[in-house]
Amino acid sequence: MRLLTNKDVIGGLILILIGAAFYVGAQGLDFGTPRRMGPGFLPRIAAVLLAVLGSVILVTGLRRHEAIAPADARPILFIALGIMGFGLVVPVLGLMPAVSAVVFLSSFAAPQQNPFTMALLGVVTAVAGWAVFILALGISVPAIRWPF
Amino acid sequence: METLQNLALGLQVALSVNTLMYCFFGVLVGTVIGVLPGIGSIAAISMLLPITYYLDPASALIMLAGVYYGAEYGGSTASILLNLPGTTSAVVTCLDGYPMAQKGRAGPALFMTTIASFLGGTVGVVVLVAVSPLMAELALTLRPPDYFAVMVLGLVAAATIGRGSPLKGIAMVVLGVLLGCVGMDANTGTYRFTLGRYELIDGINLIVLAMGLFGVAELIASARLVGAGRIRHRITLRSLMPTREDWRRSAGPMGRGTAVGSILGAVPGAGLTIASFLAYALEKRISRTPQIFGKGAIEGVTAPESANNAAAQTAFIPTLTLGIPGSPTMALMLGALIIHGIQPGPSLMGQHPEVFWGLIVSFWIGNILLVLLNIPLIGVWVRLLQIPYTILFPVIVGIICIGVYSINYNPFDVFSVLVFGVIGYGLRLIGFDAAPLLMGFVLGPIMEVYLRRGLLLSGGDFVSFMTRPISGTLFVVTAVVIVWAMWNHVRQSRRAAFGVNDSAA
Repeated sequence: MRLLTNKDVIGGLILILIGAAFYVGAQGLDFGTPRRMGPGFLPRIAAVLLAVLGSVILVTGLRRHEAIAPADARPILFIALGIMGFGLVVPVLGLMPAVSAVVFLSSFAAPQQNPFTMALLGVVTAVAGWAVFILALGISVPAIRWPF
Repeated sequence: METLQNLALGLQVALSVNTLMYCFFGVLVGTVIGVLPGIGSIAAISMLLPITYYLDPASALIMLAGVYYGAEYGGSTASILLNLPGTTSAVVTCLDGYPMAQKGRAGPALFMTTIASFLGGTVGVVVLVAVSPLMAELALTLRPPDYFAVMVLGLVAAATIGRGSPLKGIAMVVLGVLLGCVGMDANTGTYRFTLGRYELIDGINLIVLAMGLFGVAELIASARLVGAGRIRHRITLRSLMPTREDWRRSAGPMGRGTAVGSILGAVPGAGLTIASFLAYALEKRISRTPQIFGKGAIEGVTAPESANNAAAQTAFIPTLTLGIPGSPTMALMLGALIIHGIQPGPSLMGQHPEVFWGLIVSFWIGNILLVLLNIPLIGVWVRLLQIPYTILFPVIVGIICIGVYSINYNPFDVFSVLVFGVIGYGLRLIGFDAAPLLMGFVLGPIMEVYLRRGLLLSGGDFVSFMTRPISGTLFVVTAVVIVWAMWNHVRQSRRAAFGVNDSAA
């Protein structure tokens, strides 16, 4: 089980998998010849190189254990929720509701936030975002849409 | 004479009201993000990149560059007041800056860093003006194999020098090159790795990648930061004034720091952080009183600050004249040029003199603006440091979302930035640095072009790359860099291992 928490073993393994994935993905691409490189030339060489580097990193990792830093689930969860919220809301309701959503949701990445303060922060940021991006910079996103 | 004419053209561009405004905005944003620990200039530049779609290339570059060197000015503020470096190159400034603040000398430390930064920046600009035309001329003699070799050297140097395991750095470069392959192949029009999504036909968007890997990943990692500490010192204009002794002791260090920075800035892979570390080490070594370093020596603050600001300017030499960035931030600047349809390289100076010289002159104007921003307004920056991070980071997440969405008005980009953010955070956990990945991503497609041309010229013979004098030498240097970096890494990790054993015994 120690292998699964070993930084370099996991890192090396991931690189090998990515290399393999790119190699497989490049199968349909013409390799060409060195004289006339096809679109698959560089990707295939780079994919092999990546897998080789991954293997070396994996092997060196076997010799010395360095544990993976523990992942912090809370910020990942809330920042992900916030960004997804923005992406889902913005095409439907427009910029300001989307900004309020992302600011409010992602703020809980830090513990002990006050929901009322954060809701207020969301609204304030939405207004400021509207002023800067729509009024001043003129990006063409509706500020608020009513789809119903 | 020609230089004067060029500078006059540059002045004309840089002093127009419009450009001046963008320059000011750039250095202002740079100072703010430099002051605030937690957001680096890569994240800030990628946040501003979407806005530059609406600008002419000169203004866009001037603004983005302003963020970059402005951050170097602001970076020292949090180092001195809170012992928290605002930028990576300001780490060294903590060593003596914070002890100075503890002794109640925060004011002079802040004042002298601004002066040191200005001196370093100014000399850096002069070096840039003097060296760039020579480099561009030299670059015209380079052939495709040579370009390919310079890029390999630049990538390897940036991936291996000074950041953990060289193998991991090179692996990240290769991964970046692979990600750079995504999209339509420029040569044949074949779609590569597009996964059937039309959004990927133009390739992975540089802004999305950079904001994810650096912006979102950084926010995930730092969201729990419980605000900055308390600042007990009242910073008034009067308290800023350095003593005559401060000036006397800083003159030499600022000069030497500037020299160190000017040289190292232009070396691919060395960059600002290494420049400031070396400048500090140099001062400590030649000082007659090395024991005061680390306890609030003004020399230990002014030398590295001169060095990183000089390096910030000379870093533009390889980027602008060869089209080869020496650091991830420079890779981003290069990406910005390409977005605006300008091919960086030796022909930039001839084809777009207004962009080239306008940019360079704006650096110096930006440096003056930064002195004006940093000395009289220091109180504002100190107050900015007191905004709780818990309020700041949700707003930054919001700005990232707006910025990414405004590129194509497509939620796909917003979801992609999240994916790259989580990837970037994961890379940190397993000890990989995302910076070389960004460089590989930007340089990969350019390298492919030169490799193809070189191989076509040599009839598919790669050995001729090795036997040409310029490219051959560069490959030898690259090999030396790899061997040296590996040897250094093994030695260091072995030393660390023995250190643990010693303390255990």
